[in-house]
Amino acid sequence: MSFPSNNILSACGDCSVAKELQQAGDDLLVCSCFDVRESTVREVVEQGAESIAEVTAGCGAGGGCGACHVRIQRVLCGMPAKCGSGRFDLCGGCGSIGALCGCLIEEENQAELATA
Amino acid sequence: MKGNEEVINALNAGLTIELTAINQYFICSKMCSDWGLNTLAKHFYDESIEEMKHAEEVIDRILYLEGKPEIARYDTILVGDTPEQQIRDSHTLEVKGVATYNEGIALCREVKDAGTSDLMERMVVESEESIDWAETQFDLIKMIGIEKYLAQQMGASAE
Repeated sequence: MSFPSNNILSACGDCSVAKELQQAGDDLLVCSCFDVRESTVREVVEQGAESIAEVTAGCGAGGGCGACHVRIQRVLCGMPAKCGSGRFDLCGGCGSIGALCGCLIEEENQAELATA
Repeated sequence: MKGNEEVINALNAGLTIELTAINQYFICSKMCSDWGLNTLAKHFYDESIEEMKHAEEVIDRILYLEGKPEIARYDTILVGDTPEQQIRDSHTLEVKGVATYNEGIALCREVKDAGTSDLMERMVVESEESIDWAETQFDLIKMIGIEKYLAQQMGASAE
């Protein structure tokens, strides 16, 4: 076999994905109730927020219907807010691969609870 | 040999579960040993070592396919505060492992990678054996009660 050209043991594949997403200008709307985007949530987390409640206190995200809590949790875990779209991308919310991820169901359940 | 990128992703998803399992089983073993449940501690210890051997195989395969093993990525390490919860957590992790590898096997068949498929199939069988073990413990606990079950798990003195 031949060695891959760059650093063979990448520290964290998901972090590099997050950076690429940000560089590409793909700034996901995390909280539609308070119109907060991923970059803002990430800033609050970088300033020291460690829980969803602290993120809400910092920028408002998550203070409305609660459907975005899974996305905020992913940012808190150092993952992209959006669940990996690939079949084998790991979701930061549930840890499952995209093909088995239950977070979308979780988000729908939360949205349903919020509207009920 | 340059491997299919999606197959490498699937192997890395499996590797994440193996690395998580090494740690999860290891802490369960140490806690059970501390509680004096030496038979259960030995079981968790052996499982931890077994997972390390699996991780080795998966890493070797990823390197053979010229991919990058994601050795610093973990799933949530569940640390149950009772032996029963620890068995339940290991069951949860193994079920996730089987589902992940089965998805990988389906992909391997699509892209005709029999070597990786063979490795993943072996991982599925070993995980299913662990699931079977956990379910047997649930049955035992139901039949004889947790106290008698734990008495059975004390075993000989600590190693």
